[in-house]
Amino acid sequence: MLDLTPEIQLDSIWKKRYFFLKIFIYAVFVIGGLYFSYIILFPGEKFLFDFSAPDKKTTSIFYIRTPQGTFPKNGIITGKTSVSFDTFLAKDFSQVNIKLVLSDDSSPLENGEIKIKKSYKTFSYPLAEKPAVFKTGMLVKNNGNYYIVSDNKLKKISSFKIAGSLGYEDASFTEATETELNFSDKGDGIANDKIYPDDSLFNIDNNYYQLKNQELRKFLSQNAFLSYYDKNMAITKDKSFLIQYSLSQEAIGFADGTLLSFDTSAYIISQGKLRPFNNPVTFLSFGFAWKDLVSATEDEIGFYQRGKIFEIQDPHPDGTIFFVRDNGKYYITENGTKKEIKGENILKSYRKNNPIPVDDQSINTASICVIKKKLFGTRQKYNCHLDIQQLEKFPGNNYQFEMQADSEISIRQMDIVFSQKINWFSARDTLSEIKNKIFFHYDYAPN
Amino acid sequence: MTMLQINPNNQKELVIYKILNDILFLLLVVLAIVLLAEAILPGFISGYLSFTKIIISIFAVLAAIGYFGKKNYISYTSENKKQLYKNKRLILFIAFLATITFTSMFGMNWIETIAISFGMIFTVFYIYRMLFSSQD
Repeated sequence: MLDLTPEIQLDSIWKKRYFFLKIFIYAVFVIGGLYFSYIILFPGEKFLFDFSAPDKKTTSIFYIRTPQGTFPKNGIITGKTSVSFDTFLAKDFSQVNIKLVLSDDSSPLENGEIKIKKSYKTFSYPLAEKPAVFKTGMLVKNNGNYYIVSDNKLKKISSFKIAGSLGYEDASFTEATETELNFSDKGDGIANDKIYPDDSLFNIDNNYYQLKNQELRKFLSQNAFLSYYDKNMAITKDKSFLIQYSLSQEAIGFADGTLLSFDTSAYIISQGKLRPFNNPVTFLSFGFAWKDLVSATEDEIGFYQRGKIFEIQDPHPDGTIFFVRDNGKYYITENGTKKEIKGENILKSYRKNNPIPVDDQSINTASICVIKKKLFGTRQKYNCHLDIQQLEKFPGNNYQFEMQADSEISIRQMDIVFSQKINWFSARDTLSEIKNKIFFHYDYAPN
Repeated sequence: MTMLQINPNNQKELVIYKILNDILFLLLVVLAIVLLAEAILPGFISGYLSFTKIIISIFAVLAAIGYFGKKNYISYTSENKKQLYKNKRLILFIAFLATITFTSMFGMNWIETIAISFGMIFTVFYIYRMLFSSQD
């Protein structure tokens, strides 16, 4: 055996002791190495919530709420009432372990269970009563009738002659079915060829404008305009047109949900703010596609005040379109709801980015585990271990938990650990991921 | 290594000294592996393992070796230093440093990378030579 200090000779009895001690030290390092390899090959992710310090920065379990939407103060959960909470992950895991530590004065937990679903937080929004309608500013036609969506209302242009006098061409109008038109609220008809309705679009000297409250608001750039509308929807005018209307100080930036790239960074527009992604993994975890990134100029980026980093627990911005793979439906998110898009032409009016694929099953399929008391330890500790392999197939970065017990309990701390099963497939996936990271780091694209 | 004077009755401390040398060796192996992995893929190891802790452990073990070595009159002679200087492991050490330096500068201009790598290797070589030279 390797002796690093052969010059130091020991008595035979101490030699023996040294030998065993050395074996022990080497064994400790080998076991440590194996444990470290295990952590690398089968990585897990841990999420925490401490009810005694709910505002702690290390908190990684989000949206803890009762069915009424309130936060359970001091972790007190009434018997037979559910409490929901979320974690957000960019990776798939095959098992999850939920540990609950109850307060010392809490009653024991009786007949508890936890349901787990996987989807996108935004796709789990409640369904709005009304389906999506044509976007404001859109020009639509049906059966020889021409309409403009102005102030979110469908306004009929009394004749094509009026439309022509206003400067519209037939090709600017998108075909719509009667059913699609019926989803929109109806406004007053347009019979005057001198006054443009609100939300009309203009192209003046390759700058785009929209009429809002009878003021012209300039689009930040052509790219910004194209994030909402097609080029042919704008009426071409010369500079003298600018004298007819006052010019608003406010410019129109990119549409919410637009993905921008500048230099080596990617950004998303959310609630009118420019928010950078912290890494490519977060970007992909939302189901976004690299090809949807619009290359922005320095001026376009400079227009915005930089918002905080767009993190994995942030919801998709309004205007995100989901495509449900198992029933072929489309939804668009708006103000905390999702609206079904019933109609190909309405979909076309919104579809500037690729829709994010989702599964309807994902919000209806839950894995369930029974909460059991831990055998050892004096504290009231409970555990719930679950195989979640069946959820892996669903797209999404959001694991939604719903817990219920028969007794009223007071939770002190909650830990959720996602992990991989120890098998060759998990190890192979991790190794492949490491390989890809190395290629990415050295700018090498394997075939 | 030549022992100038060793207290043969203090076998326990000699065992501790020998074991500390083994621990130091193992910690250096760990540090080398970790540095190499980190050089190839930055953030790969540091997300799991603290470099500070490893380095503090190495210094703590070195201090303990120094303490027990001094207590038991264990020291290196000039001859040993000469051997260390001529040691073939020096080449391995330089190759290791070159790999780390090279990978850390990936993406930089080739000429700059080569110039900095050579500069670094020569500096380390001369520091090593100065520390372990046969001249006392």
